Amino acid sequence: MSTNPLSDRRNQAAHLLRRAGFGGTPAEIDELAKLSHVEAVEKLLDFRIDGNLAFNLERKLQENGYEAALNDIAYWWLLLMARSKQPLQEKMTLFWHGHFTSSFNKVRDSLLLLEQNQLFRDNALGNYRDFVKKVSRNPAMIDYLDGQSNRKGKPNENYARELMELFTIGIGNYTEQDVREAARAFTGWSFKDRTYVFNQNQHDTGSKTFMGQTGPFNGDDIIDIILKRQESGRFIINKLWTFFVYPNPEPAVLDRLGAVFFKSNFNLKEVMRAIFLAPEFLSEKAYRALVKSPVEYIIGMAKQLGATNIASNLTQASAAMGQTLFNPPTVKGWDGNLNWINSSFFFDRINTANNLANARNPQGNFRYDPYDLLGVKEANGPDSAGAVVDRFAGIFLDGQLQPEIKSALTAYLNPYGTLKASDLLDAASGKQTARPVDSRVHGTLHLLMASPDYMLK
Amino acid sequence: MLTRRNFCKTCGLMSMAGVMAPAFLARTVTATTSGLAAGKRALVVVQMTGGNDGLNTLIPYADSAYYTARPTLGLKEPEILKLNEQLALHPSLKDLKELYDKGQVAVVAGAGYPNPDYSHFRSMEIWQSANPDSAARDGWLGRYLNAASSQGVPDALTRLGMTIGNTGQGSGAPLAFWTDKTVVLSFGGIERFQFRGDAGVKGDREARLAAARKIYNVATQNSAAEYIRTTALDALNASESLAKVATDYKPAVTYPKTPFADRLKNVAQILNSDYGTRVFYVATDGSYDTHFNQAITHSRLHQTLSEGLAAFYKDLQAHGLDDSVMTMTFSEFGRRVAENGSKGTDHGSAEPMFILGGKNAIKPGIYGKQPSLTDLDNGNMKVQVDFRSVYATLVKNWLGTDPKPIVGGDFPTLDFVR
Repeated sequence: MSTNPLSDRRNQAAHLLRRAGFGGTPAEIDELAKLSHVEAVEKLLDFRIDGNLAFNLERKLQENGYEAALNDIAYWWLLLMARSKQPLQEKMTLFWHGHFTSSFNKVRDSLLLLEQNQLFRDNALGNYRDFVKKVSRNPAMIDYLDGQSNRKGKPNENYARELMELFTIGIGNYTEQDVREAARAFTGWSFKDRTYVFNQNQHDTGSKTFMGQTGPFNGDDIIDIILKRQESGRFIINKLWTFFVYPNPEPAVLDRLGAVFFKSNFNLKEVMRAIFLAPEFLSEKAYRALVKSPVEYIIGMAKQLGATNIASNLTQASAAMGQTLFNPPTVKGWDGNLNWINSSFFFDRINTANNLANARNPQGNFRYDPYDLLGVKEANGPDSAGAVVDRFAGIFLDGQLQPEIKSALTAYLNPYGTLKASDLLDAASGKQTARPVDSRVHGTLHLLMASPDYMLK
Repeated sequence: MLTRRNFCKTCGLMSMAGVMAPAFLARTVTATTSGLAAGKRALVVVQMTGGNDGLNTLIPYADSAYYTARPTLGLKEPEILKLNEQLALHPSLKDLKELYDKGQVAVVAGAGYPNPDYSHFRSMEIWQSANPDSAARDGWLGRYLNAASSQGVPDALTRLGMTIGNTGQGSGAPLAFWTDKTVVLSFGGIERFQFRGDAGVKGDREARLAAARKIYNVATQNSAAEYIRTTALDALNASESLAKVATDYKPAVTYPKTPFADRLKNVAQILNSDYGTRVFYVATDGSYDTHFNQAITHSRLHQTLSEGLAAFYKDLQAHGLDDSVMTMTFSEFGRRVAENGSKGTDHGSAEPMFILGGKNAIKPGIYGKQPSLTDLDNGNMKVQVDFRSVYATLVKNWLGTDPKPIVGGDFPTLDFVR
């Protein structure tokens, strides 16, 4: 067996940035690797919530009388993910967006979705119980799961069912009667002018019997009752672990993290700290164990290519790979991991990688320079095809490259076996005679980014 | 071919035994089934996005209440295309009427589901999931594909279903095809489904593709990497067979120059190959959401629909496949009986569905029941046939599979399959 790549400190930092963020540039990884893993985790966790992010955009939109389309807000968020100096803030926001799903297809109101996005950001590492109560009052959520039609005497069970099945405790831990009774408790929770309102006269004040308890419960009571159950802790821990570490956590992991969840009184920051500091997080099993989602794949490429800009059409590329921000396909959010891969999404992935790798236009809206990555002008710049492949593999694959893959890349890059440092310098200076070399340098990056390992985080 | 179910069954085994990927994971894929000519049957689902005005599609021209409700939009003799003493088709459905006269069309009148929802999103979700009772997780065609593949119909699950063109749900497959196990190809044309290199340098694509194949042939012990690697090989092989299908195929008719007809031509291409797809999903062009000045838009949409479908069936007939391919149309809802103040119509309920096929496949005629225009529910026609009965008929009588788990219950079948 090979040794665990995560025993290397720099690889640990790169791994942490892929999980707690959207991947790192070489400089970001170097910076984080100067700290111990414990310090690095602390640095990522210790972000100051920017409570105005979405609202600033909203204000700007309203001042200009501009009605934001889905792509406008998706691009705004994609940029934020790529540029944020607090990547865990956006990563958690993305997690909650996929968990407490609402979609543009149903809600049709960019401002409502931006406000929901900010709610996720504000509570990203806050108190989970308070968070669930806020989500239950969130206008986009109320709209998405038909809260307005949930009225006394005419309950709509949509929210009550998803609250239990998908948001808090999972199927098998409640009955159909629990759904009906919970729906009654949430009657009258509505919104007007993009603001939550409680319609007292539509609220069913009668007695409800829910999960074995009886009383004139309202929605908050329902959430309190659910979150007293051990199963609710296991449910959310399982989902967080599957998103941040690896699928199918062991029962011992769920028990251990579940204890943190309840003992800390639903403190998400404590839970996330325990996840990142768990020995399993740096185990070989966790290394490259999850498929990058489309936005992770795209932002990772941009960062590792050293791109100076993110093109707005990358939101469409992400959509083609199956992830439209603010518009998850169903109430389950995105299934994620292996579900990101199928024969059709696969071509969208590798063709996007090709578009980025082939970007050459110095005026284009996606720009990078492969010769900067190679350091061709430095004293120890690469002087052979093998050295080029090694240099790129260091940036894109933590230097973990199987020998057969290295030889495939070397043979592609240098079919005649004569590549010299001067050829790379010629290509870097844009000499027409070096065009074939230039093409294969860009192509080597495409192939690396199309490799199975690079599609994993 | 990989399915997630199969894959995960092996995950445990692989980690327990610490072995390399089992043979099927590393297998490169060749088409496992012969074409439809070998007595196979296919289904094409056509989504009329936006909510089609059923009342101006299947017109109750003998009912004066129709003209009262539709003072400006009502369609009259002699333009309408009469099917019988009560009902007629929209004048733009001329080609469809010809198919009807040839015995290739069944019309299901008054289709819908209980307690209609007037949200495009929710109602589309209901039609695609066949589940009006809770928010959707998966789709009826996905459930069918899983059932079909576990019955020993080709295990080539990724080839069994296909979406061509955008269906209004991003670029991925429509909800109808979704389960946590199915993977269907959805592509906007064979061009997008191809490996690319540097188009500016001759020979680069081939060199790069050869390198990519080498990379994807290197097995690893990481099960997620194995999944990507084998999917990659599968995709490269599928891309090559599809490209060949496209160059080999000669349509027997000239298709109309519309994106919808192009998609149907793609379907015909693939049906004529041994690629193995049995269920196709395509959407019509544009939107049937005709709140304003409906007449012109609706005519154009119906003309595209009708001419496209007619060309498709002529082409299939010339290739001897018309009796092997059944096509079903649906929209997320019909529209309000009374026209609105903008010479348009608002969201409504019951709608007609069209079923097309060869003469030896279809029992032509009108099924279901045209709803009353006076006994209304909040201005909407009352649903006469649950759409799940239509699905159940296709699944049971056409595709030969138990419909109960697919449509979520016992729904009486109709008699339109010969």
